[in-house]
Amino acid sequence: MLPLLVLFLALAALGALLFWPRSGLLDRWRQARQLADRVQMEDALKHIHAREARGPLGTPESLAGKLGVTVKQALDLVSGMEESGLVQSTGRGLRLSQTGRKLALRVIRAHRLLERYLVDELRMPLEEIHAHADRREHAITEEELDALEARLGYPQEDPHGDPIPTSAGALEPQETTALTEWPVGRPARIVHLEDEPPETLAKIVAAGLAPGMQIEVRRVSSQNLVIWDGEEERALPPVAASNVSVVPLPHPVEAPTRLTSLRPGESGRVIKLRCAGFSRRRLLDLGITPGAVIECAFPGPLEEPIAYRVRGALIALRREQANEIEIEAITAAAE
Amino acid sequence: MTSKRPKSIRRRRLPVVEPEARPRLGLRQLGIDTTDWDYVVALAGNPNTGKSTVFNALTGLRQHVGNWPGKTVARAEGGFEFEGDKYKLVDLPGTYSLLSASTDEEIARDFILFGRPDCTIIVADATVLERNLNLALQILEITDKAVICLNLMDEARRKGIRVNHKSLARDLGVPVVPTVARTGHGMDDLLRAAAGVASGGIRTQPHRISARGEAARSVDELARLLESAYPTLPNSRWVAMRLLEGDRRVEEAVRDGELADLVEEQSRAPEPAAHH
Amino acid sequence: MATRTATTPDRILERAEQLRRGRDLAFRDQIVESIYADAQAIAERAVRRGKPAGPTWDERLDRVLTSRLWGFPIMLLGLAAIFWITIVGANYPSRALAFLFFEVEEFAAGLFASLGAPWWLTGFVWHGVYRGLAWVVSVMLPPMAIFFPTFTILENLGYLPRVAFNMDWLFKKVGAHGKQALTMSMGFGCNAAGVIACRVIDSPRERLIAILTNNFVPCNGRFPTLIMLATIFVAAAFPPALASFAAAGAVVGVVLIGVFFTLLVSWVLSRSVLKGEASSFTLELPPYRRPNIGQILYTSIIDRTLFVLWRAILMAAPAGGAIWLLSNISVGGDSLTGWVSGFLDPLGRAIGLDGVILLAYIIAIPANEIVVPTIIMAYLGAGMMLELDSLTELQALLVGQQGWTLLTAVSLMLFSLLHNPCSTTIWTMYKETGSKKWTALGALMPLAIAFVVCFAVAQTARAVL
Repeated sequence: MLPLLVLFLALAALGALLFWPRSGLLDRWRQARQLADRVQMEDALKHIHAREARGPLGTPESLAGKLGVTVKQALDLVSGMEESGLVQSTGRGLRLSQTGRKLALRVIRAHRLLERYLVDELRMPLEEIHAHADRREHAITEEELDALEARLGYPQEDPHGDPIPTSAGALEPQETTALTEWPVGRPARIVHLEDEPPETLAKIVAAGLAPGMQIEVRRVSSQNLVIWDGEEERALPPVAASNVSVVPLPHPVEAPTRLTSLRPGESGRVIKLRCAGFSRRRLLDLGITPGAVIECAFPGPLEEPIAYRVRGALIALRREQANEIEIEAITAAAE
Repeated sequence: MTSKRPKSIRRRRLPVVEPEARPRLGLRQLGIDTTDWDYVVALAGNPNTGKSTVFNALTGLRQHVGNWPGKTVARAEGGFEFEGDKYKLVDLPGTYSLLSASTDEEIARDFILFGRPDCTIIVADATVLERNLNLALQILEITDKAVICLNLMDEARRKGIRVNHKSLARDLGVPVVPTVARTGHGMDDLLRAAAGVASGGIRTQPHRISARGEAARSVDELARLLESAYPTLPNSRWVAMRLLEGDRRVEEAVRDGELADLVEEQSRAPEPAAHH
Repeated sequence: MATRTATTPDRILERAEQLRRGRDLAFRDQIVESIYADAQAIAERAVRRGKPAGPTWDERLDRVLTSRLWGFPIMLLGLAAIFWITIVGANYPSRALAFLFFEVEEFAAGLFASLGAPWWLTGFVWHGVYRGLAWVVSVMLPPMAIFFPTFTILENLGYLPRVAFNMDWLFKKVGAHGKQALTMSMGFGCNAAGVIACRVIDSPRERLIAILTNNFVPCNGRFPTLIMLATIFVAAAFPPALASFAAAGAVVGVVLIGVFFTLLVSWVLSRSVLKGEASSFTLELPPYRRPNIGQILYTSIIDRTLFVLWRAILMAAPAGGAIWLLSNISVGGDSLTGWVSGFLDPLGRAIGLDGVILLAYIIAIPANEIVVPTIIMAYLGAGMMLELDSLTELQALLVGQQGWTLLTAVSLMLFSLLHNPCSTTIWTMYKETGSKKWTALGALMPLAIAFVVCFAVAQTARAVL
C-alpha cells in the first residue's frame, strides 16, 4: 500500500512539475522557444532597418552573418517575415514594410532607452551597455518602456548620441560626418559613437571622448588622429575615429572649468551641469543650478568626497560629480 | 512590479458609499481616518530642519509613532487640540524638492495634492533659508493653505543671520511664524496661524513661481487649457508643469478623472465655517 | 460650451506631449532655475547676514571631525566610548533585574507547586516561558536604555552625516554609496531598521548592496552576546581596573571586523551580481545642532528601546516554551534537546562551536536576543535550577561545566556577527526589495560566510595551538 502511495505521489509531483500551467517545465520550454523566435525576428528587423539607413540593403546572407545562423535558416526567417507582412524582398535587398518598420523602431526605442537607463541610473560603463540592452530589449513591455521613458525625463538621445524614436515611432535622421573625414582645425561637436564592435567603442571611451563634447582635430598621421578638447590632447587610431560622428560647432572650442579645480576657500559660479538622469535632478534640487555661487569648503580625511558650500548649505560631492559641474571662477576682485 | 500597480490603484478608487464622507475623499484614500478630527494638518519640510521637533512640540509627545521597523517610515501621525477643535497632524517625509520623484517625494507630493490637507505647515531652516525656499515655493504652487514655520531662529541668531519674517510673509503670501521648536518658542503663534488657515479665517495669496523663457510659454498654454477644462482648479500652473515634465501620477490623475473628482469635491464642499 | 467639450483630458495630455517633445532636459532645468531664482530674490530681501568674526563653531568642529589626522581616531574613540558606557552602565541594573526576576520565578514556581499544579505546567510556564522573558528583559533592557539615547545624541548632534562623509572614500572604492555608513549606524539599533533606512540611498544598485550587507553590523539583539563574551573571556584576562576597557575594545574589534566584511562583500557584489559603476553621490552635511535631551530620552526609550524590547519579548516567550519542551520531552532515554544537539554537534565542533549553540541559533531565528538564554537553558537541562544572576556563575557554567575555551568565544563572536539575519530582518528585506531572489541571497550568503569563516578560524587555531 505505502509504496503505491509513494509512487502515486511521485508521479503526481512529476506531472505537476512538467505540466503545471505557466511555471511547469513544458510551458516554460515553450515560452523560451517563443521568446527565442521573437528575439531572432526582432534582431533581424533591427538589422534590415540599420541597412536601410546606412549602407547597402540587407540580404539573407548579411542577415545570416549578423545573427550567426546558416543562410538556409536566414531564408526561412525572411520568408516567415514576408508572410507576416513585415518585410519585402526587392531586387537589391530586403526592405521593411510599414508594420515592420514600426516593430523595428519599437525595438530600437527599447534598446536606446535601456542604454540611457543603464548609463544614467545604473552608471554602467559605456562599452558594456550595448550587450545588456541587446538582451533586455526583447523582454520589456510597452508599459514598462513608457514608464522608463517618463522616469528618465523623456531623453532625446541615447548615450552614444543616437536619437531615441518616440512612442509614436518617429525617428529623425541627422546629417553627420565621420571624424576621419573632418578637416583639421575646424571646431566640431561629437554627436554619435558607434557601439559596435565593442572593442572599438572601448578604445574611443578610453580616449575620453563622449557625445556632446567640443573638439577639434589637431594633427593626422597614419597611426593616430590627435584631438584637442580645449584642455588636453587625445590620440585616437583612425579605425576608431571612423566610428565617431561629428557636426559643425559654430564657435571655437572652449575649455571648461570644472568644480574640481576649486581649492578650499575659492568660489565659482555654476555654468552648466553635464550629467543627466537622477544625478542631475538631485544636484538641481540641492540648489546647484546654473548661476548659483559655489564655494569649496573642505575635503574629507581621505581627500574625497569634498564638501562645497552652496546657497548656505554644505553639500558633499565625489570627484565624479564635481567634474560634471562646469563653473566660471570668481576672482576676489569681482566680489 | 508594474503589474501590481494598477491593482492597488483600483482598490483605492472603490466608490465611497456614505455621502457625507465625500469632502474628505482624498484623505480617506490615503488611509487617514478623519472621523474624529475637525481638521487635518500636514507637516512638510527639508531634512534636518527640526521637523520632528516641531511635530513633538505640537502634539506634546502624545501619540507619536516612531520611525522604526514595522511602522511606516513614511508617515507619522499625531493629534492636538486647539481652541476646542481637534487637529490631526501628519508628518510627511523630509525632502529637498518634489520634482525628482523619489519614493519619499512621491509620498509627500501625493499627500499634499490628493489628500488636500486643511493646512500644510512648511518647516524651514532659518539658517539655510534660500535652499529651504525651493521646497516651500513648490508646495505653495500646489496648495494655498500653507503656513511657514521659520524654525531654528536661535541657531540663526547665533550665526549672525537675521531673518525678517514680515518681509518673507509679504513675499510668500502666507503666514510666516518664527519659532524655536526645541524650546517651544513660537508654537502658540504657529498653532494660531495654522488654525486660521485651516478654518479659512486667514486668507492666503501664495507666491507663484515666475517661470522664464520657453518653459513659461509652455506652462501658460497648458495651464489655460487645464483651466478651460477645470475652471475651479486652483493649481493649474503646477499641474501643467508636472504634465510637461511627464509626471506619471499626475498624468494618470488627469486621464482617469481623479483630478476632476478633486476639483468637483472642492467646489461642492462648503467652505468650513469660521469656528462656532 | 463648445470650448469646454473640446478640452478633454486626452486633448490636454496630447498637447503636453507635443510641448514636451524636443525639450529634453531644458524644461526641468528652466523650472528649477526659475524656482531658485525666486528663492534667491526672496531670501535676499528677508535675510541680513552679519559678518562672522572668524570661523564659526560649525567650521571649527568640521575642521577637527573630518580632518585627515583626527577624523578616523575620533570616530573609533566615539564608538568605543559608547560601548564602554553601555557595558559599565548596564552591569548593575542587569544584575538587579535578573535577581528580582529569578526571585519571582522561584516564588511563583513554589506557589504553583503548593497549589498542586502538575509539574509540567509549572515547568512550562515558569521555567520555560517566564524564564525566557526574564532573561531577555534583564539582559537587554539596561544596555538598550543606555545605548540608544547615547547613539541618538550623536544622531541629533549632526555627527552621523560626518561619519558617512569620512567613510565615503572607502565605500566608493568597493562600489557602494557613502550613505551606507548611515544605514549601518541604524543597523546598530536593529538590522530591520537599517534595511528600511537604505531608502536614503537613491541608486537601486547601491541600495541593494546596502540592504544585503546591513546584517554585518551587529544589532542590539546581538550585542548582549558580544558583551557577555567580551566580559567573560576577554575582560577576565585583564586586571579588574582595565577589564571594562578591554571588553569595550573587544566589541569595537568585532564591529571593525563587521565593517571589514561589509566592505569586502560590497566589493564582491559590485563586481559580480550587482555590477556597475559608483552612482551619483550627494550628501548634505547639516549644521551641528544642540541636542534636545528631553526629546532624545523620549524617542529613544519609548520608540526604540521599548519597541525592540517588545518584539524580543514576543519572540522570547514562545522560544522559552519551545526550549523547555525540547528539554523535557524524552525519546529513548534522552531529551529532544539532547538528540538534536547531538545530531548538530559534529558540525558545531567543526566550526569551533557545539551542537547546543547551533540549536540555539535555529531556535533564535525569530530573534537573536534569545541566543544566550537558549544556550543556558539547554545546558541546564530539565528542571535544574541554578541562579544565574552573576557573570561568575555563567562563567562557571560555560567554562567549568561545558568546556568553553577562548576559541569557542571567538568562534561564537564571529558566528554571531556574520550569521543569517533574524526573521524580521529577512521579512523587511523582502518588503523593501520585493524580490525573493535578493531576500534569499541576503539570508543565505551571511550564513555561508559565517560557516566558512568560523571553520577556517577553528581549523587554523587547532592546527596552530
